[in-house]
Amino acid sequence: MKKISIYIFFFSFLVSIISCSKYLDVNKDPNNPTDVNESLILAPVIASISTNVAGGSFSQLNYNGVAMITSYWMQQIALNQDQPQIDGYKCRPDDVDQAWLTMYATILENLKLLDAKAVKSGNNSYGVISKILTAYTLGITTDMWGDVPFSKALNGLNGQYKSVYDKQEDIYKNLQAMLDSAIAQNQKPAGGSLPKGDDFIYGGNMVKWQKFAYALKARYYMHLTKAVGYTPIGQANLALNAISKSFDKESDEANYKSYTASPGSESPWFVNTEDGQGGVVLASNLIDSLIIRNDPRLGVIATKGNGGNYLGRPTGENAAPDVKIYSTLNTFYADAGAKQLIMSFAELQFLKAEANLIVNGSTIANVDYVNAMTAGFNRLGVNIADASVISFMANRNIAYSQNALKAIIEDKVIANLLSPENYNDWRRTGYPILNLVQNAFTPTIPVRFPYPLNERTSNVQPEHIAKFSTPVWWAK
Amino acid sequence: MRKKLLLGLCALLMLGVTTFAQTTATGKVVDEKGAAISGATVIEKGTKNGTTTSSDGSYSLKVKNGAKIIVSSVGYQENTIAAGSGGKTLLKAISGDIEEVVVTALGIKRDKRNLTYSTQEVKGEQIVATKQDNVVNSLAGKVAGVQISNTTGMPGSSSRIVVRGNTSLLGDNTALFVIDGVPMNNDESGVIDGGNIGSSNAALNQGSTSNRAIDIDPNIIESITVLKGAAASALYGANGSRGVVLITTKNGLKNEKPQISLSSSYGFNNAILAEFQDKYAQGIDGNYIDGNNGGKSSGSWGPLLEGLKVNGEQVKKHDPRKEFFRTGHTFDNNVSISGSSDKSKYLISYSYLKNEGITPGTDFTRNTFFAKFTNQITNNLSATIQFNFINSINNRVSEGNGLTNPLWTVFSAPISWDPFPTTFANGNQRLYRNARNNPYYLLENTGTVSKVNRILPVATFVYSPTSWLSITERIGADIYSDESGYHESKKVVGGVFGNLTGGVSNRTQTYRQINNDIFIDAHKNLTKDLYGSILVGANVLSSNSQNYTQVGKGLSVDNFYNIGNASTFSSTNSSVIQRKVGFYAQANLEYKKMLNLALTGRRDGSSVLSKDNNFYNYGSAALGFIFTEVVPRSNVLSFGKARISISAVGNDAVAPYSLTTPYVQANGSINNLNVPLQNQETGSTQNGFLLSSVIGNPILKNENLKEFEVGLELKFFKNKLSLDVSYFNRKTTDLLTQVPIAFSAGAQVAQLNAGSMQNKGIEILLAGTLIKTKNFNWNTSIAFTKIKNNVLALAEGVDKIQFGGFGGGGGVYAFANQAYGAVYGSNYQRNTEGQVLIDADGFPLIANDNKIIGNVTPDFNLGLSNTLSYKQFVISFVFDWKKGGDVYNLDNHYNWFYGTPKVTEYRGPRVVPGVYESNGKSNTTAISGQEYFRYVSDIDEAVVEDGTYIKLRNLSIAYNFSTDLLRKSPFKSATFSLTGNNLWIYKPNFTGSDPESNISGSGNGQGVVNYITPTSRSFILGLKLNF
Repeated sequence: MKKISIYIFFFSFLVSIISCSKYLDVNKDPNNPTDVNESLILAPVIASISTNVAGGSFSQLNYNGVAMITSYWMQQIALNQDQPQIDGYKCRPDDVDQAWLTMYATILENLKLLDAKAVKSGNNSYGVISKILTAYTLGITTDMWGDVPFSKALNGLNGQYKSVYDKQEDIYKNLQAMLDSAIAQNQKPAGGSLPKGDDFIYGGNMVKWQKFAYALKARYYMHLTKAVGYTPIGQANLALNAISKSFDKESDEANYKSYTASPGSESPWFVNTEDGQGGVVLASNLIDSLIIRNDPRLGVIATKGNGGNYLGRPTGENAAPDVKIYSTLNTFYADAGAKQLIMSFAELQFLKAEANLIVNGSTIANVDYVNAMTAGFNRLGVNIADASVISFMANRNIAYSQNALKAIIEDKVIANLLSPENYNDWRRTGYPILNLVQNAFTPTIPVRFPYPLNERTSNVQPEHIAKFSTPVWWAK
Repeated sequence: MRKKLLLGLCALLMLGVTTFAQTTATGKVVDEKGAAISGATVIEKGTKNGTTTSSDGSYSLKVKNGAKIIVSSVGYQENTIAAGSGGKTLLKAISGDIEEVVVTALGIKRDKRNLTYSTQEVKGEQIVATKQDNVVNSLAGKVAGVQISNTTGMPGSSSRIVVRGNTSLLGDNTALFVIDGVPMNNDESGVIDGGNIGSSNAALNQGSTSNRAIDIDPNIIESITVLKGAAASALYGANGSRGVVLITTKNGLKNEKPQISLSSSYGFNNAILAEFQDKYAQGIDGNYIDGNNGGKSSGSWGPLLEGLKVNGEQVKKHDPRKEFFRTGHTFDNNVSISGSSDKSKYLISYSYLKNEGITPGTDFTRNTFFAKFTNQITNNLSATIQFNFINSINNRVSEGNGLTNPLWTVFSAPISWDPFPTTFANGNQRLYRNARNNPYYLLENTGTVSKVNRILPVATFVYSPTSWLSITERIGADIYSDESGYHESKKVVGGVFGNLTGGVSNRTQTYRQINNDIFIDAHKNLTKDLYGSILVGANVLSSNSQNYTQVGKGLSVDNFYNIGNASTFSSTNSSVIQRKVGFYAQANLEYKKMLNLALTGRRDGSSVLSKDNNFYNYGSAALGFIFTEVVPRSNVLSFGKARISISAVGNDAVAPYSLTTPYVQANGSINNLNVPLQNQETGSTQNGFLLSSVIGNPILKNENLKEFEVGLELKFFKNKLSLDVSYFNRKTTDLLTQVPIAFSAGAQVAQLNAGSMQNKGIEILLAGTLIKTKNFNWNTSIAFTKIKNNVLALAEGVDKIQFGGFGGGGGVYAFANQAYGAVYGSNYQRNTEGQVLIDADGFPLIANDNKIIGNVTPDFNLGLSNTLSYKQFVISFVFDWKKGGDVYNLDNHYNWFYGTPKVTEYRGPRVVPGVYESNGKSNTTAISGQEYFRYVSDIDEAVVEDGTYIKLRNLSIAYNFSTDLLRKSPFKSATFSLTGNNLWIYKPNFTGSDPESNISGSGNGQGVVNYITPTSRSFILGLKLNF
């Protein structure tokens, strides 16, 4: 009897253990999917590129995105706080953590997954778009930080949490190769699933995507005009070739047009310049240069301060008690429903002017310069037939005749207002001429971003020794 | 069959069934209060035949006809009776003895003498006497080995209790709460934020919420036992490794006529404020900026207010802090009925608590209904059914760094500013500065509410077929719903829903936990000198939570807070299931009442770990030696015990679904954008998912805790003085941790088994009766805790992990080879001799790199409790001393800049001590007070303060009306009491309200304060009547 009891006990114990394993099998996540289709990844990635990278907006986390930081340093915007602040070059490694996180974890990692899915499913259009957006994002990343991780990066899912950095020169080769491969893939059949409403840039128009790929190619060729081992004329010729296959009208340019006034969909610069952001206004350097040149775009770009005049904030000055005295961004840029520029037709025209200046000289390039300025005015809805525009252009042509490159870039940074590309142009050409701001945190204007704190602690690499004053490879 | 099975099991467990002839003597051993004495020795006189009583005090012993039996138990006078059937044997307590029977794991009452590990009991009366809303706070200063910290002065605020130090890097470090054998949830649900639901910095920006142990009504507590080491708590499995707070509820006493007890108290409380300057008006550089008439400045660096005239009239002086906070009120009422009959006992209790906080509009209301009924169904089957229903409502306003916190513009408001009216005619807010909100406007136009309904039913059945065997089946549940809401007007600047947007959010959380334990307890004298007991059991624990949240932004009709009034919506739901099974056994062997050996083992299965690793084993071994049984007792030393234990516990401290890396809906991860996105060009709605920022790990296994403990328990002078000292060394390894990784790997963190942490500590409880005369008694106890924590390692290549404070600025971290809770931030640049370097203008230089600038872990805690009674008066008081433990005081970071703290009142020129960076000579360049404070406010090191405090936490004077006075009244007893809390706080190096407070609630990120509701000083009048 006793024996039977023991057997029964063991038997029931065994049964309970086996059934336990089943009982414990409840660890399947009911809240998040393990796989999603391409369309569901593409839409938020584009929204992040437009909002966080091109729009520079991390306002709700009190961080500055790339475009915010470059616009401060290019003295287009200023922060009405006691100094030194980010506009006085106080940019510590942790200040760029959020920007870096977005580049890699939000955008590049998801684009990598998107590309892999497109390969698997044969949905070539998604493959094309993911490569172009990767080239766009990686390009800005390397321009700001120099040597960055890429070829060995984005392997966390495989258990590799660290990676060596690629040389910027190799990244640039990779960018062109990636864009070429996107263009080649675009010649293949589009595949079963086509982007449409999920493509917030072109709505699935693959012809325009291809033009955007060529526009990026042109931009990246021109970045290397001073790079060691590359010739200005060689780069300019490559750029001109790419430009010829790129945007040929404003409607080709890359914009995000789905911001609205309804809460939770406001445009980045609306959010960036809200009252709660601590007083983001326009810098005196910008306002003053617009006033000095009688630029007819002044009223489109800026609002008047409460003194009834256009007043920019001298970057680096201690905070004005009343921030409302300063001009701030006008509705074209900062309306809740404003469109966000990713890459403009006007920029391409300026690239063409610069390239032609190198290849064919200032006289031939002058046509492109005027076209570029015209594209800039058109974009802002300013009538080029206005007397003020005609007189402005005449004056600018005089400036052009004195120093063509200086004039081109000076006008380009206005047409490209708030774009990170302005910081590249300044480092490449020295234009527009900028002075160190008052109460500066660093002795010179930084020529690169600091590597983020996250990388410095979690992925220590020799490149981290780079200083504020160490130029990136192409600007040396 | 079942019985046979159990018998078979017991045979297996080698408890031989030996039988004696003749007759059977049965009975129950009780104390003077009628409570059962378990483990009492029952011996047939003149023989070596004997047994011990079971947990309900009963015994059964075969004896010769007409034999006498001797009943004895430690702490009681021996009693010799004639062997009989079914009677009760009364044992009188030896006077001066401290209650010796303690509740241990699974609710088993055991003689403290036999324990091989450290526990400490706190009686219900002591808990009620502190008049705390949150039961956690009532333990402060009383228990050795335990660190308790309150969070803020907001009604319903959370409290954190950590036993024997932090053992997990990012997981829960607080003790497990168990009521009458059933675990209860003590989570903090957190505030609802605007869309990024449950983001980690929600508490930092909107304040914390209640920890759910706040639902326990102190009035129903009979006692609380804190199980400290892993040896004590091993039977609770993984969750018990963090220490266990065992709550035993009251029941009717044996042989009691129905007794009605009424208690009622009223208290009022006032804020304990930091000191503020009261001389200088709003402005900058000594120039007045008139915020009352449209001037805008955040600074209080204006001219002296005295003599300052606008339009010929003296500007009125305000005290913005005193004007803002009101006197809080607390009402606490309890009525209970208890009683018993032969076969049953019962208790029914209802309590109503209302605490109206010092911030207008904030309150915490709690209704608690509790009923417990025990019945002896048959001779060997008893059942206890209990039911606890709690309804609580907590109204709060935001605290912390978010702009919806009214304290932003209370603590930094200039004394020259009149906050009224709060708005202009057009509805816009009126304020002295830009980019903030009028505090009184926020009180009217924002708010958080949490409504909790909770039931905690427990049913316990004890079947005792023989005197040495009992089978206990206990099923209990913890079911609650928390309906929370937050609303905000659309005129709020920088609000939770956006700037000037407004909105409303609702969240319903439902939590269900079912716990079932079945265990067999057998105990018997194996030989004359050897007593053995064995317990075998199984546990199933299942929890399920559902969370529905809807967020509506953009209000159409302002100040109308219904989700239908919003213009854009987002909603989420989540469902989380977690299950555990455990099989456990415990064996005790006691030799000659002198040597105790205890062994436990447990096998756990957990649903959250990798399938290959989801079952794991652990256990403990402990030895207790009562050496006074060998060394004769003297007049000095009346009792002495040494104990030693080693234990290991496996822990599954990881959230469910951590094995995979899913895609997560992108709502809240692209700055302000709501997802699904609206494509304005195509008019279509587009959902979006991004890869989770946490990389899952399919091979997760349990983390391990190993502990070594030695202890010494001594009693002196006929038990008048007792000393209980424990030393422990506990180490946790393979910590389940979300390790930060390089973002360039494509995510933010990876889930790993990585890192280890060690806590070595000493805890001492010294208790004694200092004076005992007919009329005057003085009892005192000192609880001392010193824990040395060391983070031994983090994951490979990771040098620190942040868990407190803000990103970017200073914060609270785990660093390898440092105590948990290092404060890390910006600091002064120093030369090799440690002197601060000064620039040519006289300003101190800031070092390029952040470094460790403090640590929130205290050096030690010491609590002193005293009870003095003289005739009808009883005075009790508790002092609580925390030595060390830094506080990162962000109030100073902001307020120094604004110029409102007292320290900024002297604002003349000063020379910062240090040497010039250029030539190493002493600094002689003076800078103005305004320049100095504005500059150094940004240096984290400058705002880290030592959080040492000594508090007179509680002082209570009670008067018990004498029975003579009550003879003609209907009352059996009546007590009138006057209690004061936080009457005195000594905080030599802390400039805020209370160094104990923090912004992160009961979470790990302690030691950070940022505009939180001050602690208050309270006075409470109480009356308790028994009919």
